[in-house]
Amino acid sequence: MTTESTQGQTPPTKTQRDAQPTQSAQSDAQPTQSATSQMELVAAMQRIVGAKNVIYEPHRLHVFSCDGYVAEPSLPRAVVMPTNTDEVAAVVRWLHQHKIPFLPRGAGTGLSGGAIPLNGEVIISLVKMKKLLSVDFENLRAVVQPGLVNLNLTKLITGEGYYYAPDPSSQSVCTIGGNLAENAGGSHCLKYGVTTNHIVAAKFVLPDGEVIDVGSGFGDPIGYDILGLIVGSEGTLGIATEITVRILKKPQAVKTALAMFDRVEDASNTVSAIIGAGIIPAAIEMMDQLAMQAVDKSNYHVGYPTDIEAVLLIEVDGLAAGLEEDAGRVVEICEQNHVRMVKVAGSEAERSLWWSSRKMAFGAIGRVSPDYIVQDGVIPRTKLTEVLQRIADISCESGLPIANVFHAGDGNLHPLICYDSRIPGETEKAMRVGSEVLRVCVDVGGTITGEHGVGIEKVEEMRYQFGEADLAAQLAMRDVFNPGALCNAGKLIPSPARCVEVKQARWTTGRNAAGVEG
Amino acid sequence: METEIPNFAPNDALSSLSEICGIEAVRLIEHGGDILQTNQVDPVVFVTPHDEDEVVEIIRMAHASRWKVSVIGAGTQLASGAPSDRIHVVMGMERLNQVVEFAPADLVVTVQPGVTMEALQAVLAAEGKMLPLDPWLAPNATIGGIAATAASGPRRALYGTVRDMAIGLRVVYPDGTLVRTGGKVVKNVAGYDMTKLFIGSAGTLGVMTELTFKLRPLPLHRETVLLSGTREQIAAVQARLTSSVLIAARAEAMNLTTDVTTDVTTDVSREAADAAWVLAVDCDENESSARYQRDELKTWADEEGTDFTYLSNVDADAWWEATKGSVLDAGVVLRIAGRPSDWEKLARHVTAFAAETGLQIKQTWGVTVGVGRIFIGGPRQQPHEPDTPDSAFTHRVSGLLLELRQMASELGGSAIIERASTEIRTAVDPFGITGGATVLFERIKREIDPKGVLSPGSYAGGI
Ligand SMILES: Cc1cc2nc3c(=O)[nH]c(=O)nc-3n(C[C@H](O)[C@H](O)[C@H](O)COP(=O)(O)OP(=O)(O)OC[C@H]3O[C@@H](n4cnc5c(N)ncnc54)[C@H](O)[C@@H]3O)c2cc1C
Ligand SMILES: Cc1cc2nc3c(=O)[nH]c(=O)nc-3n(C[C@H](O)[C@H](O)[C@H](O)COP(=O)(O)OP(=O)(O)OC[C@H]3O[C@@H](n4cnc5c(N)ncnc54)[C@H](O)[C@@H]3O)c2cc1C
Repeated sequence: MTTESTQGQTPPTKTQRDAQPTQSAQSDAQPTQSATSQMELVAAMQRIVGAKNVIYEPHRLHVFSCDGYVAEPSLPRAVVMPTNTDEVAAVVRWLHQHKIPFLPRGAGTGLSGGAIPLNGEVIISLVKMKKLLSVDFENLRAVVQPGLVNLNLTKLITGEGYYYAPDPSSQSVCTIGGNLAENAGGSHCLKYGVTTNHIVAAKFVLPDGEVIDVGSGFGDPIGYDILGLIVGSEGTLGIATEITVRILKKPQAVKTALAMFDRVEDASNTVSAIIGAGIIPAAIEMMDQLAMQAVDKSNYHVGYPTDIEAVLLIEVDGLAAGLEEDAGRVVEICEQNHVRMVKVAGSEAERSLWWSSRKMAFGAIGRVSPDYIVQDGVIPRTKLTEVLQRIADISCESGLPIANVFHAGDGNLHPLICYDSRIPGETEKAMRVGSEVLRVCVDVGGTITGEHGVGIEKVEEMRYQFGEADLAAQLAMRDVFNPGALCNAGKLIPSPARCVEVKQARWTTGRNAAGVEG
Repeated sequence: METEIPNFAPNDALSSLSEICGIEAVRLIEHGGDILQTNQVDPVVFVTPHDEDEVVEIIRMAHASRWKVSVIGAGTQLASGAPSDRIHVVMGMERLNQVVEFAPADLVVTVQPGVTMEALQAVLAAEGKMLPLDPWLAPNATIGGIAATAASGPRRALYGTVRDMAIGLRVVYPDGTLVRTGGKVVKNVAGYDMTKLFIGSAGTLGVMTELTFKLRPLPLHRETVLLSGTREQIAAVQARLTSSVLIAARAEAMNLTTDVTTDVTTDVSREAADAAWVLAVDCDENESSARYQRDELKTWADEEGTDFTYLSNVDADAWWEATKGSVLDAGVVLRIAGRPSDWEKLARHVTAFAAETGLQIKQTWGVTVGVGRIFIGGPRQQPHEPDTPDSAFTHRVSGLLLELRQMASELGGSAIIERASTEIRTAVDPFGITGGATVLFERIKREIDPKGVLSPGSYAGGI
C-alpha cells in the first residue's frame, strides 16, 4: 500500500466551488512531511501530556505498528496517551499546526487496519481515558470516555440490572471509542441494533483541534446529523473524547436453543422462517462443520456430531411470561425444517458453554489452520443457501478450506479462509478468494463489510459497491472535516485515480488477536 | 449564499421545464407563497417529474440557470424551518410514488419518495410487516417528507426513529449528480454512513429519489393500556415504568382535551387540565407477555390511584388513529426534548401557560424517550389562504417557545418549531441551535450545494 493521500484527486469544480482558497489548497495537499524534528515533537507532546505518557523509543513503538490486521505494519512517529479532552485537543492542535499526521487508536483490535500508521502518524492512544464519567439510570444514559472497554461498561452497571447492548465478540478488550469509529456490531444486534443505534451524543475533537458537541442526549439531533456521519468513520474525521450511550434494562428472561441440521439449506430456511413468523430473536448465529470441528478441539467442547452440516444458536429474550411460547415456536419451526436435534439450554452453564463455543470460533480456527483471513460480507438473509453454496464452490476450486461462523439472522457472513503462508503463493490465493467472496456478496445485493470496517484491507473492494460519484461524495465529506488530510489519511475510501495494482501481501490472521474471543 | 438572479423569467423556465417533463407536469403559480407557505409574492414554477431521470434533468437545469428549488412531498406541511430565500421552482414528488422493491423475508423495502405513509403501510401489512414509524401527521404525508424531516411518533419508544431505519438512498445532488448511499442489507459499514446526512436535512442537501428501509414484523398481538389521572399520578407511573423490565412499544402521556383551558376562571381550568391526563402504554410482545405487562400496569394504577382500561389489536389501532387525528389541525407544533424524568416539570409549565393565555393547547410526551409535542391553536391555515398575521398570537407563541427552550436547555434538552405560520417562524429562530457544530453545517452545505440551489436559508442556523 502506498502512502499517497486519498485527497489528491478532487472533482475539477472543487476550487471554483470552494469560497476559501486556503482550505482547498490544503485539501489538495498530501499529508506533508513536516520539518519539525522528532525531538521537538517529543518535547511538545511531553509538555502537553507529561513525559510518562509519550512513547517514542523505537523498540517500544513496534507493538503499535498494526492492529488486528497484521499485513501492512508501519511504525508510528510516536504514541501519545492523553488523559482528557483538553489534552487531546491540545495534542491535535499542535500536530495540526506543525502539519504532522496523526490517528486515534483504542485497543487495536480492529480487523481492517484502521489504526495502522500508514503515513508514520503520531498515534493518539485513548487507553488512559477509560472512565465511566456518569450514569443516569432513571433516564437510561451513560457518559463514558472513549478508552473504556465495552464489557467494562456493562460490568459497571450490571449490579443495578442494566447493560450496554452492542456486543462485538471482542468486547472484553475493544473500546467504546473504537466501537464508535467502526460502528461495531455483535451477536445481539439482530434485535437491538448496532453501535450507531446506541450512541446519542459525543464530544468530538476535529482534526484542527477544535472541540465540538454532536448529537443530543435525548430526542433528535438538531441540524444535520453529524453524529450519524461520525459513527463508522473509522477515525478519519476526528477523535471522540466523550461518548453518551443509551443503556438498557436487562431483559427479564432469556432462552437459548441449539439446533443441528443435516443440511445447510434447512438451517438457512429455518432462519428465514423464524423471522417470517414474526419473531425477532435476540440472536441467530450459525456455524458450519469445519468451524464446529475447530471449536470442539478448544476448551469449549460441545460435542457436535461430525456428520451435520450446520448448527444454529438461537436466543430469544423478553418478558418471562411469553418466552416459553416464543421458544416453543422456534423449536417447532426448526422441526418443520428437518432439524436433526434441537435443544433449549437447561441451565446457565449450558447456555454459556454454547455461547463460548461460538464466540471462541475465530481463535479456534487459528489453532487448526496456520493462517486465516476473515471476511465480513453481508447478504440478504434469504440468499444464505445460495451464497454458502457459492462459497463452498470457491473453496473447492481454490483448494483452500473455508469455515463459516456468522450472524445468520442479519445475513452477516464471516467466512474464514484457511491457508498456510509458508506455502509460496498461498497467501495471494487466499486474498483472491477473499475478494471473490466479497464479489459474490455484492452480486446478490449485499455489502463488503457489515461490522469490521473497510480500513486499508477492503479499500479497493469499495469499488464493487460504489461508483465514482458515490465515492467522490464521501471524499467530499472527509474534506469538510479534515481539509489538511492529517487525520488517518489513505483509508476507507479509494482515491479516484488509484489503480488496483497494490493489493500485495494483505491478509488478516488470528495471531495478533490471540487471547481474544472471536 | 448567492444574491437574487436579476431577471428570472417564469414563462421561459416553464417552457424549458416542460421540455423535460411534458406540459402537463408543469404549472405556473402566480403567488409563490401559496404553495411554499411563505410570504413570497413572486411566482414559482411548479413541476412534478415522472421519474428520477427527470429529477436529474430539472436539477441540472436549475443548477445551470441559478434557480432556487424547493422540494415538496405531499406539499401540505411545509410550515416548518425558517422561511427560505426567494424560490423559483417547486418540485413536487407526488408522481414518484412506486414501491420499487419489497423483500418481506429480508425485512427490507425500497420506495420512491412520493409514496404516502398510508399506502406503504398497507403494502407492508399485507405481508405481515411494518415500518415502525407513526409520526403525528396526516396519513397522506410522503415517505420523502417524513425522511427529510426525520418525523417521529410514539413508537420511537421501542423502535427508534427514521435514522435507525433508513439503510440506503439514491439522492440527486444540487448539481444533478446522482449519488447512492448505504445499501440494501440491514447491516453495512462500507464507507461513511452518508444516509444519515440526508435524513432530517429538510431537502437542503439533495433530492431523495429512492429510499431503502429495514422493517419489522407486524406485531402478532397489539395491546394498549390506558391509565388516566392527574399529571402527578401519571408521572409516578412513568417513573416505575422506566425502571421496570416491561417492554413499552409506546409510552405516551397525553393531555388532549382543550375545552377546559378556555375557561376564564384560571384556577379551575388549570386544575381540570391537570387532572385530564392519559398515559398510553403499548405492548407489541406476544399475548402472554402482554397480559403480564397489563397486570403489572394495573397494579401500579391501583396503587397510584389512576383509572385503568385497555384495548387490543384493531381497537388499539383505531384508538391511536383517532388520537393522532385529534391534533392534526393544530396551527402550531413545538417539539421539546429532554430527560424523561423532567417531562412533568415542562408539561406543568405548558399547562400554566395555557391557563394564563387562554390558548387552546394540547400536549403529548413520549415519557420513556423524553420527546414532547405542544399543539397550539385550532384549524391551521390552508395553503391557499394568505397568511393572517395576528401579532398577539405570534408574540405569545414565540414567548412560549423561548421559555421552553430556556427551560429545556437548562435541563439538557431543546425546543424547536415543527410547524407554525411564517410570522412566527420569522419572529423566532425555529431551531435555536448554537455551538461549534453549526460551523460544520455551513461547511457541509457549502460543499454539497455551493450555489445554494436547494431551499437556501430555511434550515437550522439559517443554512
Ligand atoms: C477476535 C476478534 C473478534 C471481533 N469480533 C467483532 C464483532 O463481533 N463485531 C465487530 O463489530 N467487530 C469485531 N471485531 C473488530 C474490532 O474488535 C472492532 O472493530 C472494535 O470496535 C475495535 O475497537 P478498538 O478499541 O480495538 O479500536 P482500534 O482497533 O484501536 O481502532 C479502530 C478504528 O477506530 C479508530 N478509533 C479508535 N478510537 C477512536 C476514537 N476515540 N475516536 C475516533 N476514532 C477512533 C481508529 O483510528 C481505527 O480506525 C473483532 C476483532 C477481533 C480481534
Ligand atoms: C425539523 C423538523 C422536524 C419535524 N418533525 C416532525 C415530526 O416529528 N412529526 C411530524 O408530524 N411532522 C414533523 N415535521 C413536519 C413535517 O414537515 C411534515 O409533517 C411531513 O414532512 C409531511 O410530509 P409531506 O409529504 O407533506 O412533506 P412536505 O411537507 O411536502 O415536505 C417536508 C420537507 O421534506 C422535504 N422533502 C420532501 N420530499 C423530499 C425528497 N424527496 N427529497 C428531499 N427532500 C424532500 C421538503 O423540502 C420539506 O423540507 C417536522 C418538520 C421539521 C422542519
